[in-house]
Amino acid sequence: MELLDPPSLDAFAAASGKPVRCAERGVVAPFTAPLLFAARLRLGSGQEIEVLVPNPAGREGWFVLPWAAAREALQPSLADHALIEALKPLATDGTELQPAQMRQAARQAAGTGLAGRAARRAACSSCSSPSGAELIGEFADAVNAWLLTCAMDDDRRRAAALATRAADVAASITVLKADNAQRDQAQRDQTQRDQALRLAWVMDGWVLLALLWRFTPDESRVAVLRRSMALAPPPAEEMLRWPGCSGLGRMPQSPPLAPQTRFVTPAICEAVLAEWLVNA
Amino acid sequence: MNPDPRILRELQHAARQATNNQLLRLANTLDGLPQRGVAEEVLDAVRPRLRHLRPARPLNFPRLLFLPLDPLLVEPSEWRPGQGRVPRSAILPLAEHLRMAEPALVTAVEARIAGAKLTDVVLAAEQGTLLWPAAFEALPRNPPTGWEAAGLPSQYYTEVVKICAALWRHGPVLWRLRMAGGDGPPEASLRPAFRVIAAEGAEAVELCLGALLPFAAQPARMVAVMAGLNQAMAPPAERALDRYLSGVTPELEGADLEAMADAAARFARTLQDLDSAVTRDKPKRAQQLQALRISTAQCCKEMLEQEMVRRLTGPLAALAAAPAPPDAVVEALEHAAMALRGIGNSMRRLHASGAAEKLFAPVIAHLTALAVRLPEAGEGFLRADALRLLEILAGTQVAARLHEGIIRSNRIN
Repeated sequence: MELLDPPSLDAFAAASGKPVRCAERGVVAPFTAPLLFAARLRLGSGQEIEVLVPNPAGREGWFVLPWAAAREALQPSLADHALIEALKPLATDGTELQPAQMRQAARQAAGTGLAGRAARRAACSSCSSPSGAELIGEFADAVNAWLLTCAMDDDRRRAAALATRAADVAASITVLKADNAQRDQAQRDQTQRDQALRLAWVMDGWVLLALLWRFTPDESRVAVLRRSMALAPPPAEEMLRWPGCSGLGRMPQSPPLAPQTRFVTPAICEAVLAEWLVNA
Repeated sequence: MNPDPRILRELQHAARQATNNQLLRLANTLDGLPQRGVAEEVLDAVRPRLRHLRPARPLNFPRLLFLPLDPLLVEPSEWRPGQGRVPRSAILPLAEHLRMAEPALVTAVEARIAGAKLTDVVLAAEQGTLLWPAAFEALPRNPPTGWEAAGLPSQYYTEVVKICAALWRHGPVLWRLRMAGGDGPPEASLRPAFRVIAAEGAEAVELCLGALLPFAAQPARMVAVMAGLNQAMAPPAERALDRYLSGVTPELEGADLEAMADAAARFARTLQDLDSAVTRDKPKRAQQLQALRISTAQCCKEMLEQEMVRRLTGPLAALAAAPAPPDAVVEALEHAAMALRGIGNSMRRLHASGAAEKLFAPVIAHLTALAVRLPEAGEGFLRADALRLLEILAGTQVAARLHEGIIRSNRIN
């Protein structure tokens, strides 16, 4: 694993740890550069793309950078540049960035082949099997099982906190789906779009983390765990009012630890992207 | 029974010639033998390769018992008094002594670990926590039965047993620190563990650090934490570091391309940490580190020279000419390029010189030319494939500049 020499982003604004709206929190982008893994994007006041990135030095908190600054500081890959290019037309029509647009842009970018052949195959594949909800549930179970193998008490606490948050997300998704199924047909049609959007927001970021866990070899999982709580997206306040989502506000405290090495490689980022294109 | 030396040499030769898969099968078969003396001698010939292949060795009672000591175990012929090491021939008499002293415990542990592998670190921790403190308590004052029969002089028993006592007593906590992941245990976890060890005195500190440092991601930082706790513990901690430095190797022998990329990166990182241990009163350390840097960088250079054509330029030429190369072949080439680049990066970090870049320059020039002329879409090797290889070998900025140039030129045309 490569040594980490994290850039200092202290000159940039801090993002709110408790965003009010989902759009303020931003949409997670499937970047393939390690320093940008799990970063989120949103449109700034001038419709420019802003990057929200967890503190690369490992301390808690997120920074907000204009894309031009992130380009300099965070070493985006060719595939990341292609993703931003694909998002730019969507950023000019004045609407807020949403998870569906990110999926569309990510497919387009992966289709160029710049994120590798596996991502291109996934982008070109007509059959996608969205199973993000199941993935997040399995992730919670996997972390819970793994924590029994963990040597350090602090890491066990981190693993328990991460598994709890992932399980809360999986539970919220189940309630959100059931809530829609209980409505009568007319109501269901009317709210289906809203419900799909809510589901996408609740899952946003967690599928990526679940896949990161899946693709990380055993010997690197402690490093991923120590970083995961910094990468996990905070719930937006508006989410907590949605059916079954109040539990998302329960955020067990477990501070991340400054990483000594890169916890993720470009190859793992690309493997995650290829699978994310099929599952998100 | 000693094997016929000729037969042993033939077996060792056969083991050296074996492929990785054959070697893993051989290790597995030999591990199943009830008497392992000859088996160990056959495997001695291929230990560097086995270290990288990491076969799942069985977790048996003697192995579990000596797990906290394994970095300190040496072949009997290499053992010298006063070096803080334990000869492997001490394993059997001490294990058999514990079996006699604590039969119920040993039977229960053996039942629990039956069929398990050394990779089952949780089971090892669980059963080791029962076994190691009991082994410490049961250590006999005098050499146990079988000690001298194993070729061990009785006058060295006290020295060997002191090492076993310290490491078995602190076995559970040492094992947890060893298993703390690639970044190593955080300082917050090291301090309380080291306080307990430091309370035992200087000898325990030196021995326990001697067993921990080979697994530490940042050995110098670990020593600094121990020395920072208690000034009196600084000298034994420094002695442990000096002993570690005198034996540390990058473990590149027997590694294939990918394993070498990992090992070289790990070692470069360790040396970076060890730089902080070079002080005015320790001038020899600077020489040791410099010698390690130069020799490791030389190994890296040899690997690059040897594998560049076989794994990169040769397959690249074949790919560029193939009408429809399978994705797996393109991906294999990218993996090889990543490993080669990783070795090149380590080489640069270890011993600053432009030697690695000189080796990469021709293939970077070739890829640049390919990216310009290759098609954007189709069944064959594409522009994106060449740009990705360029990104791996020359960096994103170089690849991005070329990509933007191609896009601009296409717009104009």
